[in-house]
Parts: sequence; structure tokens; C-alpha cells
Amino acid sequence: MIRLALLFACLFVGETGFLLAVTTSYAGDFSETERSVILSLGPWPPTPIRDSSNQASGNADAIALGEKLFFDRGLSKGNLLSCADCHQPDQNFADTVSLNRGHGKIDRHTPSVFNLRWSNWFGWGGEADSLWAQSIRPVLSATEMAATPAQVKNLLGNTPALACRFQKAFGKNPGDLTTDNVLVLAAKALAAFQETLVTGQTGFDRFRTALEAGDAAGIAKYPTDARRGLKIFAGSGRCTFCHFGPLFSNGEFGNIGVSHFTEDGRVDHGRYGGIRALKRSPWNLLGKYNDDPAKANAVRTRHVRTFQRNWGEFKVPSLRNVADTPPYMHNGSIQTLADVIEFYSSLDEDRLHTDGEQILRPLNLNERGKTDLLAFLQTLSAPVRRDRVPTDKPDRCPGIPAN
Amino acid sequence: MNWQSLLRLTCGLVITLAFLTQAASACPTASSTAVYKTTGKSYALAMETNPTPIQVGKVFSARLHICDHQARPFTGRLKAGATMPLHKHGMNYRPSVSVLGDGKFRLDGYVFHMPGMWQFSFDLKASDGTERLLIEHTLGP
Repeated sequence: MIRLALLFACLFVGETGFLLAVTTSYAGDFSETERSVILSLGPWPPTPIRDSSNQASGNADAIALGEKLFFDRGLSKGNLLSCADCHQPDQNFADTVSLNRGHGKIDRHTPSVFNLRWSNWFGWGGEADSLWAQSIRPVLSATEMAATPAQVKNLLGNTPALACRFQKAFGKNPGDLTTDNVLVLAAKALAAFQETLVTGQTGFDRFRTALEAGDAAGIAKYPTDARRGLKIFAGSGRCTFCHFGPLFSNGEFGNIGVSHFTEDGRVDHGRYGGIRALKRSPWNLLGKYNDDPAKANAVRTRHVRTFQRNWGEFKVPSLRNVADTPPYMHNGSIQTLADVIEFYSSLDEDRLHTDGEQILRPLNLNERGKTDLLAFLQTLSAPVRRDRVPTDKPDRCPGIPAN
Repeated sequence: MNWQSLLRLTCGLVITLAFLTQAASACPTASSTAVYKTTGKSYALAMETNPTPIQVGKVFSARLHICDHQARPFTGRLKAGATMPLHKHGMNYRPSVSVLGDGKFRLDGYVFHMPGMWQFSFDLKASDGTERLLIEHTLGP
């Protein structure tokens, strides 16, 4: 009996010791620096912050109007295209082709439109400093939706369901406003809707939470290959210099040596052109359409400058849902995520512009390193969800069923 | 020493003491509790940031207090920037300078967009030349 008790005691101690060893091993996968970096990649999602430049931000009626407009082809020349024709909900609000076509050939790849409420710059060149200003650009672009401000006002003023929604959201009749004001308010409603598109908790987020809490069982659920890939990402790969924080993007711009020539040989000016377009834009945050009278939200716009190195720089994309949003790069020139890893692994430093990002070095990964990094990136995916804004107001607009 | 000489000496001492007291109170760089301090050939500088600590990708401002080694406030022109020396690039923004008087300045529009070692630079332009002061700051993840 005593012998049996001792055996149980040994087994218990052995089991505990084994668990401790597992905990130590998993936590010990990462240096203290790597652990700090990993923890800085969350928590997810960040606190939602209302856009102070946009009176429609967080307004349930404006969000509903924005959703209608997002799917309305009336916002394009000839009623041919809606936002959702390129930002397709069943494709992570992006598309699956390198370069899409609107009313003309488009030079840049369609980015996803989720998690944008936490961005400071919009578009591959950062041409806009607010989500609503960015929402105007494709509507008026000759190669994309090619609409006119007058067409937007006509749509909102003469479509009863939209006019009713507009009235509920902004307390004004579109017909009583200037064309420019209707255009801006429509864009603000579009932005309010896009703010609600947020990706969910990923396998990586659950691992990060477990790591922070020292939860051995939670840590153990994260695949071993993904953990090795994360170690490359947060450690030797130095990926977090640019793919930083909960969005896996520092929100700025970088030159990684992808060609900035368009397919027909023109130059895409990247961030340089983006800043110049921003400064010219009547819709930037320094202008009269910013709903914050103090313009405290315009600090970046006021202080951003063009530098020589901005040529060839493009927005550092978020890596959330990256495995589900091929193809890649600003021009969609890389078809698979495995090829992106190959690109960084065998980076040709000679191709980098002399003003390019000096910290870039080839990762020189072996085959296992590549598959590990891929496994990690695949744990950054989660379904896109809608952040619903509660409202107790019944919907009485025509063409839209009551709540 | 006659009474006029004594009066002159007393007045001189009072004026000197008043000047020194004013200079010292207007420019307490050496005794500042600011996190960031640096000293050059001619000037000393203390800096506080808002918010503090600095965070990656977040806008912050800085308040500077600059004096010469006689504790006189710096009255020249100030140009400010910041770089990542190891990465060989700077910020994507150029801070604006507001002169607050008495050697004090407010700088707006800083954004450190990467973790790592950053170097603040301050060019102090006075009639007798320009001096560059540097402050290093390692920004954690």
C-alpha cells in the first residue's frame, strides 16, 4: 500500500515536473526581447476610437447608409461598378487578381478594407489622411468608378431610400446641400460603414494571450511550426521593424525593391506622389471638411514632408488575414504567400534603390524556415466580422425593412 | 570707503544677485528633472516629451529648455529632427518649432515609426555659430 502511494506520488511529481518542463520549454522558445516583441503584436482588437474628423463615425444611421452605398453601382459612371465589385465581401473585401479594371486599367492592387479604423494613411501611396477622404478617391477616379460629384448628389437626392437614410444620418436633405457637401457626407457614411469591418481573434492572438498569462495549456495549442516561424518573424527576421503592433503594420511606408514601374512603363511615384496628392487635396484634414474644429487630428498631415527616399515607397500592409488575400505587393506582382517569403529570403540588395530601406537583408531561410514562417503567417487569419452599432430607432425608410 | 562707494557696491551686488537669480530661475537646465538632457560646448538642453514614454508610431511633442553655460537662455534659431543612425533614415515628418521665450521651445509633429535606436538632433544657430546637440533614445517594442 505504501509502495503504491509512493508510486502515485512519484507519478504525480513526475507529471508535474513534465508540465513544468513543457511550460519552460514553450516559454523558453523565445528570448525576453522576442517575448516583448510578440506581446506588442496585440491585444486584438485595439480599442475602437471614433474618427473625430467624421461626424458619421459610429452613427448607426450613417453606417446603414454607408453599407447601402458600398454596394450601390449608382456611384459609378454608367451604373456599372460598386465599391463591393473590387472590395468583395467573400474575398476578404479585396479581389483575387493582380490588377483589376474599372473604367480603365488600374495600376495598383486592390487592398482589403478591414481594420482600417486604426490607420492613419490610406492608399498604397498614402494619398488620403482619413478613411472618408480615401472613399472619395475611387468614386471620382477616371480609371475606377469615374463618377462625378453631381452624379453622387443626384443618386442620393433622387433615390427615396437613400435620401431618407441621408436625412436620418445627417439631419439634412441632400437637395438642400451643395454638390461638394453631399459628396463628402456620402464618403463619410461610406467610411462609417468600413470602420465596422474588423477581423476576429486569430490563432496567433490566442497564443499571445496565453503567453502573456503564462497559460501553458494555451501556449501548447499553438502549432510548433508556427511557433518556430514566429521566432523568425519576431527575432532574426526583424520583420517587426515594419510589421509592428496589433495591426502588423507600423502604418508608414517602405521601399522593399518591388518595381515602381507600371505595366505600360510609367512610373508609380509611390509615397512621394501620395504626399503631393495629399497636400493638394481639398479633402485633407487641414481643410474645411474636417469635423474637428481644432484640427487636432491633423498633426501628421501638417508635418509630413516629401523626401527623396519617398520614391518607390509604398504602404506597409497589415498582415492580418494575409494568407487569405493574394496576390501581394502594391502591384499584385507576387501570386502566393510562399513566393513572398521566397522574395524576402533571397532579396536582391542590388535591386534596392540607394535610398531604400537600409535594414533590409535577405532572410536566407532554408526550406524548413520558409514553411515555418508560412505556418506562422497562416495563423493570422480570422473571419471578418461586423461591429454592430446598437440602435433603438426603428427604420422607416422606403425600401428598407423596419428593424 | 565713503557712503557713496558703499551704496554703489551694494547696488551693484543687488543687481548682480538679481540678474543671477533671474537667469538661474529662467533656465534651470542643470537642475531639471527632465528625462532627456545633453550638454555641448556652449549649451545645455533639457527635454520632456508628451506623451511619455514615446510609443512606436504615435505622434508626440517635446518641450525644450536650452541655456548656455552661464545659465542664459538660448535666443537663437532652433532646427530639430531625428534619425535612426543604424537604419540610415529619419522620420517621415518634420517637427515644427514654437518659441516660448526664456530659452523654452515646443516641438510638434514627431513620430518614431520603428522600434530601435533613435537620435534626436537639435541645431542651435546663434550669431557666433551653430552647435548641434544630440540625444539618443532606444524605443522598445
